[in-house]
Amino acid sequence: MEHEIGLILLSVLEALFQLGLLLVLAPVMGWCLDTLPFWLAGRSVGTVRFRLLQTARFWRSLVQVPLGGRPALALTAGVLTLVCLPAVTTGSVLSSLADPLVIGLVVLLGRGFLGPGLVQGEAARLVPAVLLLCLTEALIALAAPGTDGLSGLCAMLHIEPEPGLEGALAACALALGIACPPLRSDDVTQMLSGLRDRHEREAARSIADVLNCGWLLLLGDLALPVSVGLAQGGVQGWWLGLLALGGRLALTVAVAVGLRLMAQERSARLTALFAGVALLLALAGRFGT
Amino acid sequence: MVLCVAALAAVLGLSPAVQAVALGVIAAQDREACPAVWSVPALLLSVLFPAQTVVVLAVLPVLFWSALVRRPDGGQEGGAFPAVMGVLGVSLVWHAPAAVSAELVAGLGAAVIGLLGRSVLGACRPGDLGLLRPVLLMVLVVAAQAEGLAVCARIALEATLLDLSLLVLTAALGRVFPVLSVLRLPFPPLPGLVVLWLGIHAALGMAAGVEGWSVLGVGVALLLGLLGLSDILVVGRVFRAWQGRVSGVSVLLVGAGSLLLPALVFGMLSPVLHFVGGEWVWPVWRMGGGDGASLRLPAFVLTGAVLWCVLVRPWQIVGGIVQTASMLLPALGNLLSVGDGLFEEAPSLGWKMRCVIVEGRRRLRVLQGMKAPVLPDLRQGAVGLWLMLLGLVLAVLGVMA
Repeated sequence: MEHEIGLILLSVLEALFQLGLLLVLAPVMGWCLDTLPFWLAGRSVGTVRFRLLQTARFWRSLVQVPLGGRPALALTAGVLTLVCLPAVTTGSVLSSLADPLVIGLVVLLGRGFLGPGLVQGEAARLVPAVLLLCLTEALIALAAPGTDGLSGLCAMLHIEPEPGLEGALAACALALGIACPPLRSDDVTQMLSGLRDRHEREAARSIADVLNCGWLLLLGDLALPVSVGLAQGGVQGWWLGLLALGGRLALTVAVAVGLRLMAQERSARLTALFAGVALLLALAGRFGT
Repeated sequence: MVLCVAALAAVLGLSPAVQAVALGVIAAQDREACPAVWSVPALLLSVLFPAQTVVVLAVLPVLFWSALVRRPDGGQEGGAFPAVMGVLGVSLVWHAPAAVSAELVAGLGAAVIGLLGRSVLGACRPGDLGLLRPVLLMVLVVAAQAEGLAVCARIALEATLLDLSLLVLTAALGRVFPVLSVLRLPFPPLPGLVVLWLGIHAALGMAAGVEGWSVLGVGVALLLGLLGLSDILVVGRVFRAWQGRVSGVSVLLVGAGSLLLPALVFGMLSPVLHFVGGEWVWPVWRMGGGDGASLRLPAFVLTGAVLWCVLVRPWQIVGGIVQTASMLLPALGNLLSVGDGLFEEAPSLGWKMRCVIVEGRRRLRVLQGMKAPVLPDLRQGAVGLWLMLLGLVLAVLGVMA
């Protein structure tokens, strides 16, 4: 009995740690997404310190003044994503809630609630993203029947590797990244047009960072599900999972920045091509076994 | 109203004869009905050969004509009509177990894509395509029953019943609380997501159990996603037409509906579900997908609600939680306006595309004139060619399965 209570406490602790770590990483990732293209082009960029300070100010003000209903919903979506997705290991307490379709739709909903306006051409992102999420869910159910959500999938792929499904999921993640790239600073500015209050504008930028982090973590988890550690991996497995989390996020950010630099974002042809590749790989994996 | 439709559904489910009569009566009552050239032969054939796939497909336009093929300036949808048509369509498929389900799915998919393409090219908004979803899910039920997959049939039936009850609820209370149509959206706290998720898992459960359903199952999943997206358009239109204030009661109804409706529907209709297969359920925390996956939506929603309450702290505001939540609905309406731009003007084809079309016409005329044919220059369509080849490979794989 005491052993079980200890295990539950451990999983709660892990969820809290994961949430804290990702919330700290979110502004760093947002900074990377915004400045890396300029840095690579040889221009001078600001340091990450200002971004971190801004985020710290946002969280401090959150303790003092409650948020409005709309930004609070966007932040809830982001925090739910970060706490539910399997990040370090599959052993965190809420990781059983991580269904790819549900999590993806939560992030998309949060993006819609971020500001009073919408990004121009939001429909061109929402429609393919929803269809691709449906495709992802369908491919997981097709190639690995019996798995329960993303964490179940990670655990299953550790025991029984399935290259067809992994390739298909990576292609799906790439198609999602192409069809619905993370929000840029200009996009957020466009969404916030008409909003006068400075605090709300700064809050919306920090929330956008959280949502971007959640979206990229979802894409990373889909692309490399084996890099998530197992719940019963012990201390060593946990450290490995932590390292893999860092590597996965860095890779995802690099791919997102690369897609932006090469102007391949939101290309309908590439999205369709990668969706087709995903379907082909999943079917080949299914018929090959 | 709800009881009337439920009784109608029960009677229709039991007797094909009543269903045929109801079909005739309703088709005669319809104001913007399907042209008689089509509807009279289709109804006659459906009485003569009730179980033929082609006939079932031919009757569907008779049912959904007024809801789907509307003129762009057509007014509001006519109250309970869509819900009754949905029930009729479902019972029509239920009474045709001999129909080939693959052809039915293909027909429905072609209809959806054709209607969408027509409205994109014609720059008019599509009708309520979500009405076709119960029919599609019922096709899954019938197919799973024919293959003997009781669990799969049960999951698909759960999705069908939930979708139908959402339709009936929207139709019954839509006049008083137009906000309730929000419940159909496929976004996380709302029951529309449960329908989508259960439908996808039922379709892929078929793929796991029956050979040849792999490609078809993925197709059904994508079709369900497309129908969910078309719901965004429909609900967005409701929001735009309705400019009133959000009342506290409707906010409470939406909240309670999104938390309790799936459990309520599955619990109350447990006898029907039990008749198809599986056990009695009262799913409060999680809904099984039949293939080992489970959707823990209520737990997810409750976690989110607690987080939201902590962030908003409604106890500090006058009016509390309802007041704050009623501000969310206009924001949701803002999100739903996302699809407005899609159907406002016909897409202007790119210059190169036009060149290709004009060139093609010219070549065709040259071919007709029996001159020496020259190959048209179609280098622009290379990606399309590759996609088509990919599709061919997939089709071959699907046939070999």
